[in-house]
Amino acid sequence: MWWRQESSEVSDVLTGRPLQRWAAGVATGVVLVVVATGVVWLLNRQFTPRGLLVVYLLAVLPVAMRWGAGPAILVAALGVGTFLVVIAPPRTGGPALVALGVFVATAVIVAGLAAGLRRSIRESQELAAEQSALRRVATLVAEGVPAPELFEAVSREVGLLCDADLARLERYEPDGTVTGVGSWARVPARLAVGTRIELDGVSVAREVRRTGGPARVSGYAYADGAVAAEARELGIRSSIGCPIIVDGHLWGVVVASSKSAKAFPPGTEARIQRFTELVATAVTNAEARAAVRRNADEQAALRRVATLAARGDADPSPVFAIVADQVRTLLGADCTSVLRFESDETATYLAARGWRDAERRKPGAKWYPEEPSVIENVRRTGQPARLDYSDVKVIQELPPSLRSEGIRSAVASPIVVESRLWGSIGVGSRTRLLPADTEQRLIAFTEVVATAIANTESRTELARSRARVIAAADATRRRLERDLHDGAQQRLVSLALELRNTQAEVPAELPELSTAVGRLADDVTQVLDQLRELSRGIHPAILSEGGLGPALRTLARRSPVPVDLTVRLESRYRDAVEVAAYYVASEALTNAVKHAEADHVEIVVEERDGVLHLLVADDGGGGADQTRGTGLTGLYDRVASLGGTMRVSSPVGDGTRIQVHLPLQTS
Amino acid sequence: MRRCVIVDDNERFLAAARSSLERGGLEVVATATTTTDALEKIDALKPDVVLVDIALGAESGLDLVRRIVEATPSGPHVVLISTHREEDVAELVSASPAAGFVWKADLSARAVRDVVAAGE
Repeated sequence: MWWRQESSEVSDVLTGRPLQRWAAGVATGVVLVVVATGVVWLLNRQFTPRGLLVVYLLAVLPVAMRWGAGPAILVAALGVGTFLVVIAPPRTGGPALVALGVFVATAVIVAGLAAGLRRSIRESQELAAEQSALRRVATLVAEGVPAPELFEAVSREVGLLCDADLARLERYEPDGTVTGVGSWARVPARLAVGTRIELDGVSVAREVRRTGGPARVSGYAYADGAVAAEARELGIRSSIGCPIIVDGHLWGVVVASSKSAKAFPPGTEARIQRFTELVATAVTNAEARAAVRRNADEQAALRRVATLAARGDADPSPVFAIVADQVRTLLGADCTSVLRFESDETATYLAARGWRDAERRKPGAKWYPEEPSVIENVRRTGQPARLDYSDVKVIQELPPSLRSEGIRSAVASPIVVESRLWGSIGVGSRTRLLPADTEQRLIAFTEVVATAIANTESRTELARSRARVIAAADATRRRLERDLHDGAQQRLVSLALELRNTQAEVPAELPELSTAVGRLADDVTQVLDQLRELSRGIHPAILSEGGLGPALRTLARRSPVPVDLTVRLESRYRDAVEVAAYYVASEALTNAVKHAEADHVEIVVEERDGVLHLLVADDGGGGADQTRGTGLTGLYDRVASLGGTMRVSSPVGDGTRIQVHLPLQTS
Repeated sequence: MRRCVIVDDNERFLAAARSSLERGGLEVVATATTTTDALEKIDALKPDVVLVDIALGAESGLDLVRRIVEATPSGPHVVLISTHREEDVAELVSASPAAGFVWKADLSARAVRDVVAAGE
């Protein structure tokens, strides 16, 4: 029940009002007639008594003004009677009776005029009151006060203006219920706002929804339903309501209720309607403002998520964490979960926020979706799901994972990645039903997450396939180098040695032969040297034999410009990483010598926090244009395929710095 | 210094190396193609010098050098050999406990003696 009466002593101010009016008017009239008779009696000595009848008008007039024509005429008759009895008993007919007749007629006319005046004064007062009430509400609308405050004010103004005992503002919900959003009562009563009411029996709200126009309900005595029962409890005997139409749709209703059996006067609908128009304007404004702000907030949040996802980090868990945070804040939920559905019908928590049992939901935790739960629903149907647990009285009816959470309302939407159900985002509220648009707003997030996941997956897949291509090429080069080494080089080395042996065996009397064999041996050595250059270009043997440190030292030693090399490495790394680092250093060194005309190069390579850091800095001319094939271009791919980063800074005239980070764990 | 063991996985080179070294007065008491084989023969024959190829097929000649030195610190002189030129593998040679390096195409008893002498 959405409103509760705290005081049961309600004064019945409305009943018996006409009787009161007559009694008060006549009582005052009697007093005034007595006074008037006294005055007439005093003046009777100087004037003719008939001329003194006019004095009684002084008694009639105030009564007519204050209490209306009826009591005034009674007072006029009373005055005439008193006059005839006390001052001038009728001695003769004729003139005396004419005088009396004229007085009575005058009294009636004066009374009628006075009562009319009174009515129009009252009407203009009411109009003024209504106008100022409307003005107050309009001011609130223009100021854009928060909706609850405005709804409260509208309820109060309507209640006071209609002389009602109770007034409330209710919003129609898509599920057929109404939510109380504002209320006012003449007597102190605490009226809960924000609760949903079922429209299962007689109620103004139901009538208004049925007809789309104003409606009246009176006599709840035998009516069905919760609303009627409550009306009986509060002593409500009649109610009147007008629809609030926002953008052509029935948005809500303003209801005024009275304990008086007397119906609200005709025209009350029109009065309330003027307020509902203001409410509609305010709702339109507020919704538009809220939508704009929400949209801006959501867009900003989605942008943050998208930016994070676009980085395509190997580990996407920060994306899920930020999504959980943003969804919880923006949708006003108490808790959120982001889950991935696994092929074994379990779900894995990727991120969760605001749950009392956080241990159960830490990233990576498995969960077999239980019934009834929104996540299980999403997994089964692939559609958004909503559950309202507020009617659950027995805790055992809840799935075990929710028993200690106090969740009242839960909504979840699927994450669909390239038309396959990938996971779900769920939100829960402990205090209220989640708004009807929660599913829709959640979908906006699940879609971005899905895109992000698709991006991450395709990026990861791309990086993997690029890595595979590069690794395959590297393997081919290494094999070529090894084949050369084990085949041609090995044989040529043996051949050179055999020729030297043969040369040594040549008898001393054959010097020409000895010289010829020696030349052959020299030739073979030269071929070996050429082959060595070729082989080193294919793949530096020292890298596979000795690793990155010795390979870089060899590179530094062979460099025509002095190289300051610092190596801080713990161990050997996987081939792809060593090759990438070596090629970057080798290419950078070549550029420094060939293009930048550097005098000095610094190379630092170290392992720090699971990452291989490589820095190559020269003091050359700078201005390395990465778009022109400097040989660095291909290395970007190589580094990126390993999930690493490569930054080149090369301001003209200020040397070139190349920084490479290569993650050492494989993802 | 007369007795020598060669560790290399190429039979043709072993033959050429043997005749070259023996002509120079260095007796090749054994040849080996694997680490295990080499360690056994060195332990049994106690040569004066061991020539080790840096690239031993799937095994590493550098590892073998370390193991020889660890097994007998006062043991044989170890000389690394390779089809690669010295400047390509200098870093590996200097990082290892080997006495020095001889390019396979230049192998002779005299080259080995020079390297050992320089290393002492």
